[in-house]
This record gives sequence, structure tokens and C-alpha cells, in this order.
Amino acid sequence: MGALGELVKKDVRLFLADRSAAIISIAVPVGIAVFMSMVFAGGGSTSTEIKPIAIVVADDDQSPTTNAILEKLRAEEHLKVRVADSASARKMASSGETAMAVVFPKGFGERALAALSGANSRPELETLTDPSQNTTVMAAQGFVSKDVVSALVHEAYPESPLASDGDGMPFTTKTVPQTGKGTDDVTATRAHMFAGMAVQGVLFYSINLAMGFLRDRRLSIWKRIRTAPVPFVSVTLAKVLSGTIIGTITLAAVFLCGIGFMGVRVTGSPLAFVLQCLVTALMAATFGLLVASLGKTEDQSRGLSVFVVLMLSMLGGAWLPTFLMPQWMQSATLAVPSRWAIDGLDAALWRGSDLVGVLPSLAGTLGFAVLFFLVANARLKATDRSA
Amino acid sequence: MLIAEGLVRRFGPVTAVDGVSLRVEEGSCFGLLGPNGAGKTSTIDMLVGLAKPDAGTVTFSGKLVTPDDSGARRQIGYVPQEIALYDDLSATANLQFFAGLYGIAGNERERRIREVLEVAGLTDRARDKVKHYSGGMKRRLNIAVSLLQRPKLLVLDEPTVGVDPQSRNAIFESLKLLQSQGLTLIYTTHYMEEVERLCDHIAIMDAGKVVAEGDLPSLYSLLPGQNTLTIGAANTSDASRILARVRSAGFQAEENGASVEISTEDLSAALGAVAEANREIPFTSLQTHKRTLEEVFLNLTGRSLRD
Repeated sequence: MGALGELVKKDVRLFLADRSAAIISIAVPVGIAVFMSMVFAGGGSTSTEIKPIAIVVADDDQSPTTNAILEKLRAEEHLKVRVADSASARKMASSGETAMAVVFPKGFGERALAALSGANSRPELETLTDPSQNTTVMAAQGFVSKDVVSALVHEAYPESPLASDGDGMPFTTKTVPQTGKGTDDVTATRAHMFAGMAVQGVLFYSINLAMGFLRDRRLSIWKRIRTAPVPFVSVTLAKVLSGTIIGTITLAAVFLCGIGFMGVRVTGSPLAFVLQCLVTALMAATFGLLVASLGKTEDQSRGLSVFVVLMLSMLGGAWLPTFLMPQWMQSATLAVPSRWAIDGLDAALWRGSDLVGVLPSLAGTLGFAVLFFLVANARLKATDRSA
Repeated sequence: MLIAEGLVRRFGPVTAVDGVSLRVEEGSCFGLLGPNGAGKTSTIDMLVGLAKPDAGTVTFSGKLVTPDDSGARRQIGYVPQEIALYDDLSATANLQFFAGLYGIAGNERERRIREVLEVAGLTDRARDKVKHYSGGMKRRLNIAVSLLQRPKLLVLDEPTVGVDPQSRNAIFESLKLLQSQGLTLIYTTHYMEEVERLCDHIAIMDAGKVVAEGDLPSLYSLLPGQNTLTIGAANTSDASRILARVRSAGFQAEENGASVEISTEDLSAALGAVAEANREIPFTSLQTHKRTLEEVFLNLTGRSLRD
């Protein structure tokens, strides 16, 4: 075994020597992933039941048409309708008591039916919304629009087959989730949480790697290693390799817990999943080396690197999937390495992607790893010469 | 033999080492003495090939010592000032790791580990984690690590900082044994008594420069006398009479209130002259004192070694 092997073996030995720290580095991401899964995907059940959205409806029109609309809304399984006068509805929306209130103004029914027959003037349906519940509002607006149109069609064309059959819409819908085989929204959420927390976990381990490196320098272990006949790049490469091995162990342990206890499955290419785990661990290790190259002391670097890891986790979609972020942020997070890592793991875990489908994420994660290593190696070499 | 010529090391506007030249003979113990901040560690970094000099060269056994070429560095053992060991690993694991860096493997590695543990007196504790060692044991292991590659030159950067007297003695005994086996030593410290005890050639550094160099007698010769005798008199009048008698005997002396201080190379001759004077003038006290490197440094720089 050459010097490179000795350096790698020593780091792995040090990791295993502190057993409680090794267990914590695996237990923490598992614990957070389980907790987040419970919060976002429920506990033991894998049921996809959606809780109805509570809305308030104020009918100032009191026409047969608005009565029919109201009946339709009441029958809607995804909505829980409460009727109130328009003043109370406004008050409930502004206080946040309801995500959305709908006000049918006087004359709404008559003018809406006229509009269906070609009249120019269309009535205004006022929706009062709580801006803090935008996602809920969007869903509720969809259901309300569908039911209003359906009720109007029924009123306007009572003889039409559409009025007596189905939801009154001139088309039917078929929802086909584009996920791996056997994946529903609960298992997908759990898989995403495990992917996110696993990436966050290895990024946090990378801080330990950086602190170990800075400690070696403080204690002159670095000097002792540098006086040995070992090329500089072997020393930095060894840190990356040992970090990758330890990161892979961490990822494997986290995902094994997910598979064993939380129903997480690799629905895509197993090879792609393994490769994505490896490049994710590699990226985290090079990130640790980068932190070490930028920091001067452990105390100075620790706080800042914890902040950076939290930001990387958040922006990378570890806490909240990136597709739920605003569009500009989704574009901006392409510059975040954890985004590529989590996307790749998501693709292999619950999106059911094959190796080709995961390749862009693999390449992105690997690109960041190479970039981090080159910058860190150059900086460390420059610091070593000027020390 | 190690030869350093015109070494210069700058850190921005600060010149830490300013034209240092040294010559370390094979089998000798060379002491590098100076206060904190004198430039000892920066000099050592260049001597062991850790840092590239801004000017000057270092050669060992005719080979250039540089950070880019490991040829000469293989023959140099380095003991850093801090305890450069992994606390969470055992002594054996630490030694296995550092031996591996020098490409020492298999049975040869195990043989050398046993050998250096023996020198450090740690054979019985070899399997214990370093974090359970005392400060002295860590220091001894710190030195043992640097012996694994069987160096021809061992460079020790303040290796006894924070060590109890017993462990310090054990370290000194080990170093003397190694020197007697032909190992060349470079020993830096700001403890002059360590240098006086161990080293046969000494360079005194201050503000990045070597201010004096030589063996102990030649450094002491920089002072007016190697020994001092301080005579206490009953009053200043008696002190003046004693001063006159001592000077008339040919000794260099100074009056200091009611006492007289004599500087001399020949302590027994001075004691004879003092005894003569004591027959006529009664002394209240008499003290002898051997000059130290501390005083040499004070005399050369006007500052204390521990400043």
C-alpha cells in the first residue's frame, strides 16, 4: 500500500475510532428524514387521501343558477364549503381563517348564462384570498372554476349529455403520475426526504473533514506529513478519497434505513443510484476540502461552513423540493451542487429514471466535485508555500 | 553534513529569517537558541525542506533540500514543536501510519516500530490510545515517530515544551544515546540550560539573524569572565577597599553599593586573591556564579531570552 493508501486508511480509521461520532453522523440524517417524512407524507399509512380545502362562499345573487353552483361546490369532494354573507367572508379571508372566500355578486347567474350564449358582458366572480396560503388558493381556484363552469353548462344546456353525465366538462381527464413502478405520492415524498437529508448529512460530514484538516495543520501533523516523501496532490487526493468512502458509508446507511423502515425504493436504475451516491459523496468530500482551503482556523470556519451547508441543503431542495420554489429560484439553484445531487437521487429513487435519465445530474454533481477539488488543491498549495 | 547559506524567509513586509548561514557537522548536536519570534521555526522549516527560502540554499550530504524534491528529505527526521500525533489512534497505529508514508511496510515496519517504541520507553503502552498518554509520553512518542525512517539528521523544534523534569531527562538521555550512535541533531529551544546540557555547537538567533555562533567556551568568552564572585561588605568604605585589593591582584572587578563583583576565567585564582583580602577586611557574604548563555544573549542583544 502506497502513501496514498496509508493516508486514506488512516482517515477511515479515525472515523471509525470515534464510534459515537460515526453513529451520530448516520443517525442524525436518518432521524431528520423520518421526521420530515412524517410531517410531509404522514406516518405509517401510504394512503393518498387529500384533506378537503375549506372555503367560504357568499351568495349575494341568490339566483337559481348560483344555488346550483353552490350545490355543485358542496358536492365537490376536495372542498369543504361554508356559506356566509359577503362581509363575513371578507373578514375570514383577511384574518386567515380561510384560504379563500368566493363572492357571487348580484346578477351573477343571469349574466354568466348570457355570456355563455354570446353576450359581451361577463360577470365578475370575486375571490378573496389569504396570500400566506397561495398553494392552497391555487388548488381551490381550480376546483371552484371547474364546478362553476360545470354548473353553468348544466343550467344553460339542460338537454346536453354533458349536463347529465359526469362533471359537466366537455372532456375527461386521466392522471398518470410519472414516477417509478409502485411509487405513490407518499413514497415519493419519503424518498425525496431521505435523498435530501442524506445529502445534507454528507455535507455536514464534510465540515468534519475540513475541521480535521485544519486541526492537522494547527497541530503540525500537516508539517510532519509534508516532510515525508509524499507528493502534495497525494495528500489532498487522499482526503477526498477517504471523505468519499466515509460519505458513501453514510449514504448507504441512511438509504438502508429508508428502505428497511420507511418503504423507500430504488425504482429507477440501481446502477444510476449507486453512481449518484458515489459522486454525491465525492462532491461533499471536495466541498470539505474547499472549506479547509478557505479557512484559517477551526473556530473561524466552523460557524460559516454550517451556515453554508444549511443554505446548500435548503437551496438544493433537501427541505422543500425545488419544483415548489419560484421559477427564478429554480433556475438559480442550478448553481448549487446539492441541487444536482438531490435531483439525481430523486430520479433514481422515485422517478424511475434509467441511467441516461440520471446522467445530467451525475455530470452536474461530478462537475462541481472537480471544480471544488481544483480550487481547493490550488489554494492549499499556495498556502503551503507561503506558510 | 548540513550546510545552510544565506537563508532568507519573508512573510509580506516582515523578514523572519535574514541571511542565516549554518554549518552542522556530522554526528554533532547543533543548538539553535533564541527567544520566541527570533526566526528559529522559520529557519527549521527551510532546513527540513518544508519551506522554500526566498534566498539562500540548504544542502544535506551534498543534496539540495527543497520542498519539491524528497531525496534529501528522506534522510531528515523532523520533530515539530506541537505534538503531531492522532489522539484517537494508538501509538502503534500512529507509527504504522507515519512509517507507511515513508514506504516502510511489512516485517520491516513492525521491526522499526518496536525499535522506536523501545527508544521512547513506550513498549508497554503501545496499544493504548495516545489521548490516554501523559504529556511526557506524548512528547517521547512525538520524537519516536521521526526516528522511523532511520534519519541521518534529526531536527527537533522545541521538543520539551510543557514537559515535566523526569520526562525531560528521559528525552535527553534518548537523544544522547542517539547521538552516540552517530545521529546528527539540530535542537532549537529558548531554554539555555537544555542547549548547555546537550549541544556541542550553538547558534544564537535574534530578530531573524545569527548574532553569535560557536561552542560553549567560545560563546562564554564573549562575556568579560566565565565566572563571577560577589563579595558583600559591611559598608561602602569596606567595599572600596576590597575593590582596590582585588584590582591590585590583577582581576577585573566592579563596585556595586556595599558589594563588589569580580569577573574571571580562573575561579580558583580569584578565590585565592579574595581569601587574601578577607584577612584584612571582613566580608558579610561571598557568592560564586557561573555565567550562562542567558547572560551571553543579554550581553549581545540587551534583552532576555524569555522576552
